Order: sequence, then structure tokens, then C-alpha cells
Amino acid sequence: MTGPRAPRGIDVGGVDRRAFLRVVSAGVAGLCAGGTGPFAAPDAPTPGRADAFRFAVIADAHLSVDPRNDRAEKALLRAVADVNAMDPQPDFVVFGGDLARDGRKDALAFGARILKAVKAPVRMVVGDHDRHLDGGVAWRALFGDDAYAWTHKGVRFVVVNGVRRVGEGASSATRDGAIQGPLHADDRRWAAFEVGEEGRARLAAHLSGVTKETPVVVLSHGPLYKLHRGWNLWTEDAETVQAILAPFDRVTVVHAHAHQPLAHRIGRIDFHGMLATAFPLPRPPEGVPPLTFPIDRPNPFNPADGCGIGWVRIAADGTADVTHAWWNREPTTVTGRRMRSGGVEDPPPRARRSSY
Amino acid sequence: MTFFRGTFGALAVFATSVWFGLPSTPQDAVGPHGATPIDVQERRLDALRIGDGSAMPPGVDPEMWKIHQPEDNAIDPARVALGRKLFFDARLSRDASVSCATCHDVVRGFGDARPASEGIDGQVGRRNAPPTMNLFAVAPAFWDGRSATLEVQAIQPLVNPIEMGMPSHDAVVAKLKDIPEYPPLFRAAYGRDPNIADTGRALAAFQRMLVFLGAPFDRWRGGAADAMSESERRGFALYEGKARCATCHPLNASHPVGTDNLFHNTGVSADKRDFEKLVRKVLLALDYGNSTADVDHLALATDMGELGRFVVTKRRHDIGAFRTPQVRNVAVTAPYMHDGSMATLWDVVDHYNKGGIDNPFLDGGIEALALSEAEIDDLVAFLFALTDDRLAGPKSKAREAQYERSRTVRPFRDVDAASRRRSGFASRVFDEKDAGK
Amino acid sequence: MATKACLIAVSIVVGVSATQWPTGAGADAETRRAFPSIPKPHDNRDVVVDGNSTAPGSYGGYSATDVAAWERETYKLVLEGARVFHDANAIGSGIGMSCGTCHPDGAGTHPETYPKYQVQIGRAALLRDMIDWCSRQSARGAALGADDPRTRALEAYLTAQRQGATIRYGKH
Repeated sequence: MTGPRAPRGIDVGGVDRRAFLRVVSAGVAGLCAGGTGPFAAPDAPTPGRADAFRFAVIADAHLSVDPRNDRAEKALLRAVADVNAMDPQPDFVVFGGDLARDGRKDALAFGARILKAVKAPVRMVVGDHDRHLDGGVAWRALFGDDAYAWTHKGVRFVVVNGVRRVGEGASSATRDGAIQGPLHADDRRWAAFEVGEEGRARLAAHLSGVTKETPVVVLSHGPLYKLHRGWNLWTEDAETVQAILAPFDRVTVVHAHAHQPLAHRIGRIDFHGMLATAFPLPRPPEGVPPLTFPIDRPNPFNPADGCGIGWVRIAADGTADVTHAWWNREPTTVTGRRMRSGGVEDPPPRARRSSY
Repeated sequence: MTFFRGTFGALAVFATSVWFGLPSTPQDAVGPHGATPIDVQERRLDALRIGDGSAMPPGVDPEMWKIHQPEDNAIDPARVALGRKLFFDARLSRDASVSCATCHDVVRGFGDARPASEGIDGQVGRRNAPPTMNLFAVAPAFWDGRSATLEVQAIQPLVNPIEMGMPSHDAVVAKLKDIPEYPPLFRAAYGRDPNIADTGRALAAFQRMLVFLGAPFDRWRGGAADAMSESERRGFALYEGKARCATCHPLNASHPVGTDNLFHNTGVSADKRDFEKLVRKVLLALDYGNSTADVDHLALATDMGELGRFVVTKRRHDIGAFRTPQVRNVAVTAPYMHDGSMATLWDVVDHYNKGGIDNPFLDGGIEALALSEAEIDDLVAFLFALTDDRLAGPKSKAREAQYERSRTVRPFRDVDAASRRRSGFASRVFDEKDAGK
Repeated sequence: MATKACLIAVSIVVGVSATQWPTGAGADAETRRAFPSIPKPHDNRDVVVDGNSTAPGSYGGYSATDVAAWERETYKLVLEGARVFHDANAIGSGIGMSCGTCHPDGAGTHPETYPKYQVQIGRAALLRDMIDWCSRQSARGAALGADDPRTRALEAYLTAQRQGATIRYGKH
């Protein structure tokens, strides 16, 4: 499948795939059915599901070149190595935003250089840290528009900028001159995130003419719902944005920013928070949606613990199974079935911690 | 003592020289499979003044000692005596050439001073024999933790086809019953005729008495400020600090041997193994069964053992993970790591200093440490200070040999990676030429 | 790098001592604006005896001014902690990481569980030991001794953030 360009991937050609699946999923009670890791190939398209596919997600790299954070660098490289080893390869890789810690040009350019090594096509989402210094000017110079859409195998993908600041205006400068230093999640001086009027108009435009039966995947850095304003896990115009998505039968929002897996369902819209590569964040004190899997507290000795990559498997009917492929932990998959059943089906794995 | 030093030195240097090209000296008498003759080992053990089981060993916290004792195998002198006899008895192997002491040679730091052990018919396994010192605090047993207790572990090598090669545990018991001195010893120890479970218990009881916790470090901790040199004290600060050792190798009164008893992929030999082939093989093989014997055989007889803990748990994140070995007495237990691939403690520190070797399952806690050469020397000096005073002779011999070698041969050193100039995983993503940044 | 971190550390210590006695001109106002959710110290007005103007005697009673001063001094220590907590340079981080990067509002630091066996350190630890470990290992920053003004301020901030939590020492 991947041919000679898969340098370290596991070639499972000739291996009984069911046997493979049985073994690697033994520890996670069948929850891996949508894919077990960058080295497994259990979700190759099956007959009758010709359009099923998978895309990978890397997010929250928080690169910094001055001072150089080699740890963040190593984590993003590790993520790239992981997605490059996926077999079959994902159809594309979404980078979920916050490539650079403070949006400096040199850090963004360095991140772009690392992401060039991704073998699959890369789709970029802008994050709040990417826009911290200049409102996203340097980011757009490297990666283009921060709101766009395309259709892939019958699924409508829409990228939104979910991290505009309320009141930032047309100048798109997010940096209040009075606020010095790097961006902290808990700094209350910052305005809340929003998609904003223009962003909502573009979202609506990108969905115009799309039938309500068409599966829709929205890619955003911010969550597009409201968890905890104190840490800006918050989208001020969430209700209006959700109203734009409400007419569609099957909508999956894939977001980053929370640095932890989150799972929420509002109406027919599923929301999935994805893992970061740089560092995990604690559970917020309020607003954690009930469909979220419990996780063991990461061990700070291992900066990669609580981090990793993810992927989303879209079935032919548009159902999205979201897998969080933790580094040094077993992967966990939040199935579309679980989301639709309100958490009844496909219960989460028991929390286990063998290395720690 | 003098006799011992001479013997140990010669043998240790000889054994190491076979594998790592250290200068060799003429050897003394050698028993089957290159082990020290049993009578020499037994005399050495007597000189080490191991407890007979009538009291708990010195240096162990009494509350923790109690916790480490299994309910069905309380230490007593009859059990320890039986275990000792079994430990040295080659008659328990198929051709009467291999005993526990073949690979856990008292004179060679209770190991065999070579990368992988030699068993029956000269077959060589894949794993380095861990020293049988301080095992009271080490569980689960084996590099991949496939035996939950020392009692269960102790009887596995008896029937492993490339270790002691007995056809079955029944055959072992039959043999024990045939040897006149054993049935009375078993009855004295456990009130029953010989059986395989009590064989394991007796071996475990004996090994629990092999406690070596009387090191310069312990005297320094106890308040003797001059028990460790300045360099060794700097090394300890690094051990707890910059070098990040103490998390997996905790050293405190309740955790005195320096292991978290967990499993980590630190990338040892990750550049030599081929994960693709290994994963395919392990999955195919495991498809045919998953009994203890299968796993035992797989671990030793195939390179699948390189997948470490995964072979036992079948969990992906355990691929390439091996148990954290204790750090006590490492001076006299070269070579190091699960495959004995490192000849000196400088090699071990070089390995961790560069952040291990990148692989998809590398424990993220293994990071480049940016230790200078002077810091590496200090850290190694501290590791030598973890040697029990009864092993001071072999320690100084080993230090001399390892130091000598470290001045010229440093196969695991990578200054660019250690100093974080080259980022981890860069070479897996970029071509080598621009991996630097 | 070590030298750089060292220089930063030194300059911070000097900086702290230079501003250690702010006169109330609002040195902490910006921190309060950034982190308004930090709880105020316990309200001690109930111990005020006989109003503000009547001297209550040598022992046994305090004035409203006393109580206000206690609160001000205590709160300032906590605010200083919040500042240090959110400043990568204050702890000399070599990789631009502050405490607050991973612990918004001090979350996940659970000061009420100390002393406890801290597996990262490999022994029973006080909160200040973990602060030191995190600074050195997680942020690749300065070693923060027990008496370092930054350690004291950080400990104050983290404790304040857990106002009302039940002490459960040794909890994991």
C-alpha cells in the first residue's frame, strides 16, 4: 500500500489481519475496531464500505525556536513519524492549530518545514497561539486562508477559524498592547474566542448547496461549544455556529486546543477534542462533557505521556470513529455509535497504567 | 579473600574479554559452560556470610521485609538450606551440566559476565542473566516480567529447552525423589515430599537471603560524610537531578534496590532490531497459543524476545519495554541491559545521555540529558559506590577495566544527540543529511 | 545554556528583592487583572476588637488596620506566586515553559496531598520539592531551593488556589 516510501511502517502484508487485530486489541476490549495504531492496518476499506476512509490529526505542537524547545520539536517529529508509518496511509493529515507557541515567523516556518515531511496531504487549521503576535498574518503567509472547504469521498470538510477574539475587529490584531508576554490559557485579560460574523458567513457559504444527508466534518482549533470560560475552552458565538450546522444529519466537529480528549454531542453534532503533541492539560474544573472518556493523570516525568496523535475513521454512512493514539499508552477509540447512543454503547476502556 | 579476589579478577576479566575485547589474563579452572566450579562458588558464598534464614537480612526495612514475604513461604533456615542446595545442583538439568549457579555465578556477581547465557548443549539464549542479588524486592520476575513471583520464576529455567533442558516438572520431581538427600530436606522445610512448587519456594527463600545493601552509599546516607568521595556525591546529585535516574531507579529505605518494578522502552538495541519483521513474527506465533511455555520459549529462543513486555501483555505500548533492573552492585554485574549489549557503565550512561534510541514505542521520559564528560564520570563513580562492601575487591577490578575501556571505546556516545543539537526523531522524519535541523 | 539560565535566575532574584517592598502603588494590579479568580485570604474581621481607633492593649486584640495589613501582605505573596507561576523567565526555563503552561490556575498540582511519596522524585516529598523538580525537569529551569523567594511565592499561590480543599496528605 505505502510502497517503498514507508521507511519504518509495519508491513503486514501476508499477515492475517483478523489475527493481528485480535492480538493488538486484546488489552482494550475490542475498542480498537476502527484502527489500532500507526502500525496496524485493520481498517482497510472493506466490501460494501467502499467510501470509508481515515484521516489523521496532529495538533498543538507549540514550537518555539527562541528559546528553542527541543522537546516540543521532538514531539512533533514523533507525530510525523507516526502518521508516516500508518498503513494504510491516511487520506490526509489535519494539523489542528497552535503550531507555534507565540506565532513567531521563525517558529511557524520551522513547523512548516517539519510538516513538509508528512507524506500524506496536510490541511492546516489556525490556532490562537499561531495568531498571538500578529493576528495570523505570518500564518496565512505560510499556509494560506484560515477558512476553507472541500469535499472528499462524499464528505464535506469545512475549516473554520474558531479562535478570533471577541471584539478584535477587522484589523485582526489579537494582541492588546497592554498585555505583555506569552499567552496563558488562564489569563482572564484575553477576550473570549468566537468564529465571528464573517467566519460564520463563510461557514454558511461553504455549506451552501450541501444536502442535509451529506456528512459534514468541521475542523476548528477552538471547541465550538462552551466548557470553561476561565481557560477559554469557549466559543462565545457557539449557539449561532451550531445553528448553522443543525440542519445536517451527521456533523462531526474535530477540535484541538484542550490538549486532551473530549467528547460531546449537541443535537446531531458530535464534538471531539484531540490530543496535543507538546503537553497535556488538566481536566478543566467545569464543563467536561459527559461522553468524555476517563483518563489516568499523565506522569510529568514522561513529557509525552498524555500526548499523541489521533485519527478519524469516516464510514460510508458518515459515522465518525475517533481514535486517540496516546504515546506510551493503549489507543482509545470513541465510536460514532457511542456518541449517538448517548454513551450507552461502546463503553470506555478501564483506565490502566502499566508503564506508570 | 585473597584467593577470591584472584579468582574473581581473572575470571571476570577473562569472561568480559571474550565479549568485549578487554585485555585478557590467564584463566583459572573453569567448570561446565564456562562457569566457576561449584566448590569454588560455594566457598565464596560462605565467605560472603549470607544469612541462614533465622533472622532478616541487615539493611532492610523490617516493615518492608514483611511485605516482601509471601504468606506461603516464610523464611526459615531449613528452607534456605534446601534452596541453597538446589541452587548449586547441576543434577537438576538434563545432562547434569547446568545449575542455577551456572548463569548466576557467585564469583561473577551472581551473573555470568557475558551478554547472554549459555545453557544445555552449549546453547546460548538471548537475554542477559540478571544477578540474583536483592531479589527480595524485585517482582515480577524476568526481563519481561512473565513470572509474577520469584517462586514461579525459579522453576522455569529447569524445563526451558536451552537452559536446563528437563523434559517436564514431573521429571524434575522424579529426579529429586531419586536423590537420597532431598526427600528429608523437603520434609524438614515444607513437611512434604519433593514437589515442584516447594522446589520453587526453596529456591526463592534462598535467593531472598542474598541481600547486598551495605554500600558506601548506605554508610553516607547513614551520616558518614566521608563514606562517598566528592565525585560520588556529585554523581548522586546528578542521579536524583539532571540525569533523571531516580524516577525509575528510586533509592530510599523502602525501595532500597533501585527499581520501579515497571517496564520501559528505552530503545536499547532499537537500532539493531527490525520491528516490522518482529511484529509480524510475534503475531503469527501468538496465533497458535499463548501458554506460559510458549511465551517462555519465544522470549529466549527467538528474537521476538526483543519485543520485551509485549510478548507477555500483547499491549502495543509494551513493545520493546523491559523491566527496570536494580542499580545495586552494578559495578560487578557487567555487561548491561536485557541483551548484555553494553560493556561498561559509561556505555549505559552514554545511552541515556543521548535520550536512548528513537523508536515508535520509546518511553517519552527518556530524554537527552546534556551531561558533560565530567558529569558522566561522576555519575558512574556514584554507581560504583552502590556496591556492597563485601564485593569491594571485584568492584575495584571492574572499575579499572571499565575505566580503561571507557577512555578509548565509547560505542554508545552521541554528543550531538546528548546536547540536544540534533532533535529526537529527526532522523526518522528527515533524510540524515538535514536531520540536524 | 546553563550559564544563561543562571544569569536569568540571578537577575530574577535581584529583581524580586528590588520590588520586595512595594508601597501599594499597584505593583500587583496587572496580576490581579490577569487572574481575578485567585481567592482572597480568609476574612479575619471577626478578630477585630473595639473598632479601629481604640487601642486594645498589648495583647488579645487587633485593629481593623492590623487585619487589613495581614490580608494585604498575604494576598501580595500569593499574587507574586501567580506572577512567577506564569513567567517562564522567572524560573529560568530553558525551553520557554512556565508552570502555568501546563497548570492553568494551578490545576493538577493538588497541594493538599503533600507530603506524599512522589514517584518522579523517588521519595516522600513536600510541595516545595515537587516545585523544584518541576522547575528543573519539566521546565528545564532553575533549581528552586526551599528558601528561594520564588518557591515561597509559588507555594503560596498553589495553596491559595485550593482554598477549601480538604488536606489528604499522601493521596495519589
